[in-house]
Amino acid sequence: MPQPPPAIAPEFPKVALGEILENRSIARWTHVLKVHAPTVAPAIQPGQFVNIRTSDSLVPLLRRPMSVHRVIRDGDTPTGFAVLFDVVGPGTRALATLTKGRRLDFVGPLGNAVTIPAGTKRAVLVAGGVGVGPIKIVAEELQRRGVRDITVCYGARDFEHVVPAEDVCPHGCRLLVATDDGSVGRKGRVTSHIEDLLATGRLTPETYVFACGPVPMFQALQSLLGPKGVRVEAATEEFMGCGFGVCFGCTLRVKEDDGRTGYRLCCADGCIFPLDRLVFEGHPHGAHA
Amino acid sequence: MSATGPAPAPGAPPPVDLTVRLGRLTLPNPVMTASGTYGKGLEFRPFYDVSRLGAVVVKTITSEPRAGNPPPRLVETAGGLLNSIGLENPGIDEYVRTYLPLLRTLRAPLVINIAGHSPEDFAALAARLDPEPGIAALELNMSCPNVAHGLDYSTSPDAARHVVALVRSKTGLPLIAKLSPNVTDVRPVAKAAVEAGADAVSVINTLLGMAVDWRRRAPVLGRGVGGLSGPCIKPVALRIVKDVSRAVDAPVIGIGGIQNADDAMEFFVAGAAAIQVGTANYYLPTAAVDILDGLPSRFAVLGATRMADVVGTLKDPVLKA
Repeated sequence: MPQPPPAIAPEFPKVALGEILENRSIARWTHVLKVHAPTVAPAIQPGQFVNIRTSDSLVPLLRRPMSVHRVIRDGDTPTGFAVLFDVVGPGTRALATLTKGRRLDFVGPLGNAVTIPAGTKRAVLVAGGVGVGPIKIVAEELQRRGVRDITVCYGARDFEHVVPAEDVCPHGCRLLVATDDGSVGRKGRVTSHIEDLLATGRLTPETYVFACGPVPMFQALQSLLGPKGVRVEAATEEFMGCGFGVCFGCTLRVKEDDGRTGYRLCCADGCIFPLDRLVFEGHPHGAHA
Repeated sequence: MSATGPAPAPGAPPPVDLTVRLGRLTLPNPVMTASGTYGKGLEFRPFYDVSRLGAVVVKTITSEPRAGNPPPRLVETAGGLLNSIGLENPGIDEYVRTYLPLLRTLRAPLVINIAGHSPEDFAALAARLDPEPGIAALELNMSCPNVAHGLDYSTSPDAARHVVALVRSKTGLPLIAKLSPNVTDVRPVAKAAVEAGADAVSVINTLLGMAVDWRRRAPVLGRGVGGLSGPCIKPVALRIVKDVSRAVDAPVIGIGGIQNADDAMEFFVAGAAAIQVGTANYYLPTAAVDILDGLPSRFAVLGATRMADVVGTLKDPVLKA
C-alpha cells in the first residue's frame, strides 16, 4: 500500500560515486570490497544493500546488488562501507579486477533493515555460503545494543569457500562452522548446529534469529524453527533489474496477512522478510525444484 | 533550456527550444519515461527532480488487478534484458483511488498507459480515466508480449483501427498508440491507428525473445518467453522509427535501448519527435535527466535551436552502382 509521499523528496537512496579503498581476495572465490563513500555511509542500516555497476560495458548491463558487510568508520563518523562477493559471473569477475583508487558507481542504501526487538538478550545468526555477507553488520548492531550472547552458525562448501573468522563476525561472538566435506568445522549442513542449539535450549522463541543464505537453507530453517515458534528475519536474494522497486522483476511469493499468497518485491519490500511468510514451493532454487 | 534546469555555465551552448507537439499534446521537452520502467515515478524522486521530464509514462494499468507472471521474470542477455512481468498492477479502481493522487504530486505531464483485454475493455478504461484531473494523455499498450492476447491489437491494421477508434469515442484526451515490433511491417498498423484518431504512435515495445538453460533443457523465464529491451534492440528500433515516421502523418515517439543523449539524437534524426527512456532507468537511474541535460550541446553541434531542426533530418544513403 503506497504511503502519501513526503513533500520534500527523500535524500536516499543516492546514485553515488565511491572510491575503492581495498578489493582483496579473502577466500578462493570471495572478495571483500571496501569503498569510501562519506555521503551515503551515514544512512546505511544493518541489512540494507547497495547496487553496484561493475563496469561501464553493456555486458553485464545491470547492477549487482550486494548486502552491506559493515560500515567503515573514522572514529564515530561513518565514511564508507564494505561488501563481500563471490566471483561467479561476468559482473563479479569485472568487479574483482577493480583496484584501490578506482571510482565505484553504486546506488544505495536500498531495501529494509533488520528489526531487532527491544530487550533482546540472545541472538543466533545463520549464514550459508556468500550469505555470510551481512552477518558482521548485524552482529555489530546487536553488540551496540548490548546483546552479549551472539552465536553465528556459518555453513560453506569446503575450506576453499570459508572466509576468515574476522570477516564473518566481530570479536565476542561464538562462531560455529560447518562444511559439506568437514574440511573446516563440522561435516554437514549449517542447520545441524541449529538443531544442537535447539536441543540445548540456547535457541528459544525469545532468541533473535537472522539468516542469510540459499533457498534450501531457508526451507530447512522453516521446518526446524517454525514448529518451535522461533521467529527469523531472512535476508533474501533474487535477480534484480533495478533494486529500487520499479521493474517488478525480483518477486518472491509471500503469505499475506489474510492468508493468501501474493508476490512481493525482494528489493523494495525486502530484502528482509519474516521467514514464516516466505513461500518457497516451486522456487527455481528450492530444495525440491 | 527548461525553467527548472541548471543555469547555463559560461561557454555553455546557446539555449534551445525543446518544446514538443505530439498532436494535441504539448510537452516542455522530448524526454519521457517508458511505461513499465518507471514504477509510480515517486521512486525516482531521491535521484532527481522528476518535474523536469517531458512526461512521465507510468506502468500499464488494467481493469482488474493482475498478480503478474510467475518468477523468474527477468534474465539478463548480452546488452539487454528479457522480461516477463505480466502487467502486475493493482487494477483501475485502486489505481485511481490510491496511485493517481500520488502521481499528480510529481508535477510532470502524466501519461497513463492502459491495456484492455478487448476493445471494449480499452474503451472502458479510457472512459474511467477521462474525467480524472491531471492526466496529459493516454498511451494504449496494444503490444504487451507477456500476456495472453497482448499482441492482438497491434498485429493487424483492422484490430488497431478498431481499438483506437473505440477509445477515441470515449475520451477527449490525446492518445498515443504503443505498437509492437513483432510484425513484418509496423507501418500499416501505425497508419490505421493514426487514421482512427491516435495523436501519436510510440515504437517500439519489446521484441519477443527467449533465453534457454540448456542444462535443464528449459527456458529461463517462468513463462518461457519474454520481451527483449535494452541497448541491444536500438538498431531495430531506429529502423522502425525511420520507417514509421515516413509513413504516417503523426508524430512518432522513439523507444528502444536509449541510454544517453547521443542515442536520443539518433532517434530524433531518424524521425522521432520525442523519446522514451526505458531499461536504462534500471541501471542508470538518472538517465532521463542526464539525456535532457545533454541535448543542448548536441543541438549546438548541428547548429539546431529547436526540435524541428533535428527531427526526421536523416539523409538517405547514396547508393553507388
